[in-house]
Amino acid sequence: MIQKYEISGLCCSNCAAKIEANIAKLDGVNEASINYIGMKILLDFDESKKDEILKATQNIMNKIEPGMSIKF
Amino acid sequence: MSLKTDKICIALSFLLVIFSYFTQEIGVKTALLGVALIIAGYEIIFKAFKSLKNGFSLDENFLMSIASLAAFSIGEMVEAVAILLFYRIGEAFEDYSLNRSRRSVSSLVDLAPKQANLKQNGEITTVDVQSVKVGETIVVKAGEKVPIDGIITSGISLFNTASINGEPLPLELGKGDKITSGFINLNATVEIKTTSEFENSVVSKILDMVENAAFKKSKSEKFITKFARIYTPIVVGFAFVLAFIPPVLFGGDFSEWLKRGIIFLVVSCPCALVVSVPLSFFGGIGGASKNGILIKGSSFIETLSKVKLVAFDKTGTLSKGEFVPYKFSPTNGFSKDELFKFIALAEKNSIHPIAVSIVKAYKEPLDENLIKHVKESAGFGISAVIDGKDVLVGSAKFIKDFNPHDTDETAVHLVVNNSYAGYISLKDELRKESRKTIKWLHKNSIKTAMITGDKKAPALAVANELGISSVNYELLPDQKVSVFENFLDKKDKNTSIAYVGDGINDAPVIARADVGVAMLGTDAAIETADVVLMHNNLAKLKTAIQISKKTIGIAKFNIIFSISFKVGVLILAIFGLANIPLAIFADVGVTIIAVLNALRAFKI
Repeated sequence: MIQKYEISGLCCSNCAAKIEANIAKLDGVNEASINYIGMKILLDFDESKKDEILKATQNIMNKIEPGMSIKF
Repeated sequence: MSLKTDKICIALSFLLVIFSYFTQEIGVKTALLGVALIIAGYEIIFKAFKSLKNGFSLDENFLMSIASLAAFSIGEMVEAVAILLFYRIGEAFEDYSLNRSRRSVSSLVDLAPKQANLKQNGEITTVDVQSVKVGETIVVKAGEKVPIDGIITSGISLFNTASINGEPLPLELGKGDKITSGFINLNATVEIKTTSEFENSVVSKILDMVENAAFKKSKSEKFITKFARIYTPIVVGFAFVLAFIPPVLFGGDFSEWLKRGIIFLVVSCPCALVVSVPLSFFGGIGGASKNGILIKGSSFIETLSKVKLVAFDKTGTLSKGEFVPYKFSPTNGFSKDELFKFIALAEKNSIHPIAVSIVKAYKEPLDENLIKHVKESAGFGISAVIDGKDVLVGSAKFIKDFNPHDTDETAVHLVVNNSYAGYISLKDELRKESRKTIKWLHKNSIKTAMITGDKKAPALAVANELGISSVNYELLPDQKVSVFENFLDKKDKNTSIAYVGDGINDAPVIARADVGVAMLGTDAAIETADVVLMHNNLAKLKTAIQISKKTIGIAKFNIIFSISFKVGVLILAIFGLANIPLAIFADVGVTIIAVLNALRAFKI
């Protein structure tokens, strides 16, 4: 399943790259790509694990970029 | 944090620094500058602390906080405030530039109206655009945007088409004309029968493509983020070595070496690179959209800038795909008029481009009552009973049992009551911009080739007229791919090959190309392509290449300028020749210059 979500509070593409790399490691995620300037994240993931993946994504964002959020 | 709060904090901090100049009392001075430092940098320090707690310590906030606090501790208090103050100014400037860029791109793609005026049983109601179905009638009043693709069923009006194709002149469209979503109705109400749903309309597809573009990152962007991740820890490590090893081992002045370490920390901030490079590509994509060119990702800007060979499809790409009958060859006692009339009648209801062209060229009225039992074999021809006679119209293959004339031209043959009656030769008109585009490519050392399914004679005629030397003709879609793969095998590693086409049969080659370019033709070609030239304007290929080269130039300049300036200051710092203000300039000043340079990519 491929989904796009709006994000906010991301400060630079360096953090975006860190977040992408960490989300891509999550079980069930095929691809994670952040459009830093457009402030969107594109996730390609296993639909059956949607809830846990989105929760883990939010956690990673909070850790790497405090104050960053994702609009589900 | 909002821009307003940023401005207040920056101004307050500045004022406190100025006040500190008027006091000689060291305690008051320290207090004023301490407060100035907290106002300017509490957010940065707070973020650094939180990031450190989460185990991602080497971010920019951390670098700046450590540098500033270290400077404060050795008595360089004004510099300490300046480090955080200017860092914050740089951040605010970045935010402002990014917001402006986002706004300019979103206004660019803000083409889609949310509502439509639906006409049902004579009544007009305003509905959500997504609820309109194919075949329903919508009303578009003067001043409104066309929400969904369709055909005008009533009314005539002028339309501003610039947001879709960049054309400055209004276009007059009336009953029977196709209309694309995103056009703005300028002066009269029209009714439109929709031919697609909202999500399949041109405007939705454009929005989707532009929105997805920034997810496909270029090599330069990927390089920068990787580089920043290695570069920052290395410089930070070096800063600590520089600050502590010489004074400990060789007994140098501790505060002098710490100052050099601070300079390293300030300079090591990778903001200039990590912001300006993606912004350049974003600008390139935005600038291209403004010009009616959709580039589906930063990576394709890079590939497009390295194009050394462009292969073209012929029909619909270099030529208009509108066939004009130019030679009539009747035989076996048939007249030219009979030949033309039988073929036009047989093809009257076909939607094949050749059939449409012949019917259009036959100016006399065609009596529907004369046409019976029409049966079309797609791509081959038509059998029908016309005026009581058995008629076959189509390619030489379709009527091969009746010994058709063997010709190299694009031709439509006729058989009447089992007797061969001759053929009409057609030629495809060149697009007016084809010649100029090919000439520009050659002038810029970009080679050209033609890969077409068309016959030898028309293919060679078009190639000769345009000066294209490499021509491959009479190819099926899979053969087109093989020919293209041959080009790919022979090319230099650092160059790329583009393919420009418009039809479904071009989609496999478009997909195979380093950069596949589609004219605004079939959906398959548009969806497969990396670059879409709106409004079928081949001249936009030249603009696309120019935009890609400019964007790459800007991104490269930013990379080289930022890195070399920073490395220069770092070297000076090792020898004690750089001071903290210069380090701040190497961080904030360089960022601002790089971001301003990146913004140029929007204006092509």
